[in-house]
Amino acid sequence: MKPVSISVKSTQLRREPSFLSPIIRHLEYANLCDLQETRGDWALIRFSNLEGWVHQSALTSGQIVLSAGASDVQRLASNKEIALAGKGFNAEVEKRYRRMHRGTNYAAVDLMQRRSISIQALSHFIQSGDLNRV
Amino acid sequence: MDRRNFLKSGAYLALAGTATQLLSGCQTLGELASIADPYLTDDGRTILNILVSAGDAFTTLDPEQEYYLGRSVAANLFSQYKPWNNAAANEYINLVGKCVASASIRPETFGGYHFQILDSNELNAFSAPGGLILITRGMLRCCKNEDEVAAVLAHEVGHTSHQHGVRSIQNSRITSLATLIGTEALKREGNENILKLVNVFEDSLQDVTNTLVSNGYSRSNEKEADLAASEILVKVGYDPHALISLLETMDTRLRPGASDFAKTHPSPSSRIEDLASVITTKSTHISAARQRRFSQAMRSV
Repeated sequence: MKPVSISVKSTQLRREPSFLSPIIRHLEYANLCDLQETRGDWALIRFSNLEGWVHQSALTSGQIVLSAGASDVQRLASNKEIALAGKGFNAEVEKRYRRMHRGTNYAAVDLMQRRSISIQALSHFIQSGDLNRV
Repeated sequence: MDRRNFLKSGAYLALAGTATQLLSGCQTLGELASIADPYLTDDGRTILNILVSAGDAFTTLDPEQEYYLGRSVAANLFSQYKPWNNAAANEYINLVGKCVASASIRPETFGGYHFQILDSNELNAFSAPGGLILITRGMLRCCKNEDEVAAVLAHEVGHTSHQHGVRSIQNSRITSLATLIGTEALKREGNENILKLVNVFEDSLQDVTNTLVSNGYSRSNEKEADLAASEILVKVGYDPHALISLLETMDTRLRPGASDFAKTHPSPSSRIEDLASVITTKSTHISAARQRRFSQAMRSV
């Protein structure tokens, strides 16, 4: 078993290796999981005593440390399996940038990010359009 | 080494002025480490080792940083192009977009893929880093069927999945960012580096925005995105020839010198030529149901 972390804001642990599969539970950024096996682009992982599939593009090897302190940074020097969350370009940098550039339209960005497509809607769209399940 | 010494060594690295000078000529922090080594104290060397050990995260942006950069690139694009918020049309674009993104080499990004129509007659589409994809009404009007909509969105997803936007940031900015992260990460509180970070952020998003709006990606990036698009279309069950037929339509509508696709992309005819050797399958049938829902969604576009 190999430690892997969720590298996206949120994703799903799925019963089968498909985006249309039923969901076992939601996973969040930096959740530390155990990699069991891989099948193509999908990884079978264990998290909190539950086993399921996550697409490999939502995973990174090792541990992501939230609110890293100096000791984590020192660990980073000798361990390539550690990444630090929230460093560099982050919400605070965006906030400062926004203050300096009032003409930018973040409301439109927020609106487009709020639009979401359910698995049921996607599944119906694929089926009714004679497309392949992915 | 205690925190004070860490900070001192960080300051040393910055004050020595070698970092920024050296950084600009280096492709990777590994190269920087070897060049800078004779000039560094033990503490400075430790900091650099921290940065080098972070590996790929510092040769590009990690998904979280890519997300924040992408949001601001999109916010800038929205100051130039008004969003068009027709609910039905945007839902349709998001359904087609999610289908093609799911079949890409990188279906999961930090904030996920989201698609938005722009209220513009230009023939244009943009992929801000991290999966925020914008497409104009003018471009959608060019599409004769859902497969062509899928083709243009798959091309933009191809840019995102290959991180072409992020890769258009100058190397010196990425390495400056790495140095700031390395020194900033050592502090438990305070944000002395925040203004420097905002400057690097601003410069980086300028690089990306210039690429998207003015300069365009390299010819090889465009080829890579077209190849990705053709693979995605086949995987999802769309006709890959839709990409070629869309380019043929665009070829008749693009005006030389216009500030749209004509400015930022290779000519459609040269892209068709490149695609001819890639798409070897026969054209597939487009179902009546697919054509019906396309016509319905595009009615008001």
